[in-house]
Amino acid sequence: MKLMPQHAGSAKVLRILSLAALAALVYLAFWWQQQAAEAAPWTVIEKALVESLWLEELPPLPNDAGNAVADNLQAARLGQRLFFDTRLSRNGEVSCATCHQPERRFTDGLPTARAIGESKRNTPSLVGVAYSPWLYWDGRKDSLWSQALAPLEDPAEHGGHRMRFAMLLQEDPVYRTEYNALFDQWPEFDAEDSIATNVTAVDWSATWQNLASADQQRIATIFVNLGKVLEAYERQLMPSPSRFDAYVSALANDEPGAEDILSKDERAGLRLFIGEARCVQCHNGPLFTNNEFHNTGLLPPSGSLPDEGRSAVLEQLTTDVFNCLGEFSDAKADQCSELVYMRKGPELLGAMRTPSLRNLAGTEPYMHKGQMQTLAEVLRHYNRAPMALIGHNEAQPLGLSNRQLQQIEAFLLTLDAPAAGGDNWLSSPSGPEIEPDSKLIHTLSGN
Amino acid sequence: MKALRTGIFLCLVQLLLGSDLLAHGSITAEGDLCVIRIGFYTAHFKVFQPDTSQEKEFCEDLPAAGSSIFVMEYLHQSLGDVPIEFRIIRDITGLGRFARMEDIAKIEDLEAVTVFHQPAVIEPQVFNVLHDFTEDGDFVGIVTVKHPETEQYYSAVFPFHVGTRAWGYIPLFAITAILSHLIYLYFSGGSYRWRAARRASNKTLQYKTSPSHARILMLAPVLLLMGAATENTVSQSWLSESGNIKLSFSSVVEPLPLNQIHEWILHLETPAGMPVENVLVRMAGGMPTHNHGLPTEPVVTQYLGNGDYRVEGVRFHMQGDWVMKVSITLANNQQDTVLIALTL
Repeated sequence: MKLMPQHAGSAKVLRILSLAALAALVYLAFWWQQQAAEAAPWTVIEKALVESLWLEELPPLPNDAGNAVADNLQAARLGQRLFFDTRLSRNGEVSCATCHQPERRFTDGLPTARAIGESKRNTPSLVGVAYSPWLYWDGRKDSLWSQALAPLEDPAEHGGHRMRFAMLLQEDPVYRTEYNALFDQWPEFDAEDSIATNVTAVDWSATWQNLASADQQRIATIFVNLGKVLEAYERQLMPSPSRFDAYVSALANDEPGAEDILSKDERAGLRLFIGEARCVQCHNGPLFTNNEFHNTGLLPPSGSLPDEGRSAVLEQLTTDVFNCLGEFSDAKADQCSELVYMRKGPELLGAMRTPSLRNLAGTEPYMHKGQMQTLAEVLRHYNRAPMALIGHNEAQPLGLSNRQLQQIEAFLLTLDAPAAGGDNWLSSPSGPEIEPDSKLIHTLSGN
Repeated sequence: MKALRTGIFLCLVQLLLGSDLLAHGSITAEGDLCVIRIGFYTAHFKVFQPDTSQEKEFCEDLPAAGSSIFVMEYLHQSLGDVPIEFRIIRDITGLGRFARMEDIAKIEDLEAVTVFHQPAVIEPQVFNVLHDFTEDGDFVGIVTVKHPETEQYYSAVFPFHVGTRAWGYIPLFAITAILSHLIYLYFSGGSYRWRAARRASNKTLQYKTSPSHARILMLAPVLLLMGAATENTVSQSWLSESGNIKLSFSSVVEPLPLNQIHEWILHLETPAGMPVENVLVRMAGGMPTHNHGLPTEPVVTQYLGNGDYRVEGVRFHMQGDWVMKVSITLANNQQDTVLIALTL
């Protein structure tokens, strides 16, 4: 009788111990299974998918039939000069490189771009941008040259106008010579033109409307050519092989030591990326983007309406005078397939262009309004796949664990590499110095 | 069975009693959606407070003051062609959720009580406005649409409350509900049956048909079709629904490329091998398992002779299973369809 309570006590301890042992065993089994799954060799399908992301698989740059100087190296050099020239702005302080900063992989580290004023969306990187049939987050431009013209005349960005830019190209001796070498003939300015080019008002449209149509035509042609040399420069901005590419190279050639290039977590992240996490559905190909439009249920920043994205610009694309079918394009009508066979439809409501995932390190904040500061935040969003405020979120909840999200993040960071071409293309060009002309700066800065 | 029926009845009684708590004015709850009726126009109505409630959708009453986004997704597409005016006023009718258009019409100075006004505007895709409520209270929303031809105005009025509200009759309803259930349970011997059911539930597993199962069942033929054809080879051919046309295709770019616009040549012939000439051919495509279409709208641009048709503007933007649908209109106006399953 005296032993009973003691006996019952030890039985209880035994029960607890055995339960604990069982729990440990279950945990071990799960751990072992996970380790085994992560260490498993790639299946044939997985390996093909991994190789489809390899930079080596990048097809040649598609032609831009709309721009006759797109692949002209001289044009690219002139474009490079102009890209870094702050005289291409109303206040003489803004160049393309103000927001597209080479040292930040051509982004600016801000939620939304800031130049003369604040623009509507996040500055995208330019590395590999020439592969996209559509430009801007909503794809409202169908060529790089046409895109390059828009910020130049946007009052919140460069805030200038075509008449003034034409004047700059004519008056700067270096620009004038290089332009002459590329394009047929330099149109001479008459007195009326020089009045027009001196307009400093933010609203220059009245002056423009008053020009004779032949004058408008000449100035618009110079302006368009400015866009075309900027495109020639941007076409040189290509990604270079990253640590991920070194891994795929070793994997594809059956070289030993592939496992040393990516860590276990990074490889596990890659496996999730092409599998369970379904990232590769939209972030596919060597640039990790299909350059298409998808609604992924992002919240608008505080105090702003949801962004209608792609569906709001379809009309504008077809009527844009600077589109592929317009008179300033060098393309024939049958070379404008993307514009001609453009899709419409309700699934484009709230849809934005898929960005490339090469070069995520140091290019935060992310998303079209820079809503998210870290990759962890972005991954949590896709794991949750919330309802979209407008339209429908195409993504579906993933149900991944925190550890798995961390692995995907680790993998994404292996895609980082400097843009190809080195300093040759990544900074203001050397060569003939651009001599600041005080008179010109005065005219162009408008103050 | 009887218990279930009675239970449903009791719930219905409560719903009827409490229906004006759920929706009021021109906004009604239909299934999962809140629907606003503006004359014969209808739209899916939702309100968001992203700063505090992220993507949580409100029908009209809002939990707190603050930045609020009102969204109308058109169920009636022509709403995208007409000017829509949106106004929010402080509720001075004293009628609360029973305020109607007639009561609003009696307000002499509408502007004086207006807290938000979006003048008439045409929004082709979706209508949304943002208002930052600075204080709690009762408000009335007024949406006005002008019919483009008859010039007649249609209005929707929906009273709503911002901020935590007094509990009102809700506790009374709740107590009545719980009591009525308990009384019913007592008289029907429910507690005994509940315990018995709990014991039994360990032994049987019930199979439920949910909407997602239904969808999978509907997809089955498509999936079967996909299983049948996974290799995209030129020599392959597909038979039309009627069995009268055999289709094969070749792509100008082989293998089928990802993210690159390209052309196809469709070849149509009879099962006996005679070319099918001069019929109207259209092609569309999509990913049935992803519920979306192609990223382009391809067009058959040319008849090349010998049953060959040129399709321009084909582009694939995702790897996986695609189904292309080729619609053929014959000379006698008869329709035929060929489905091509592809794996990219």
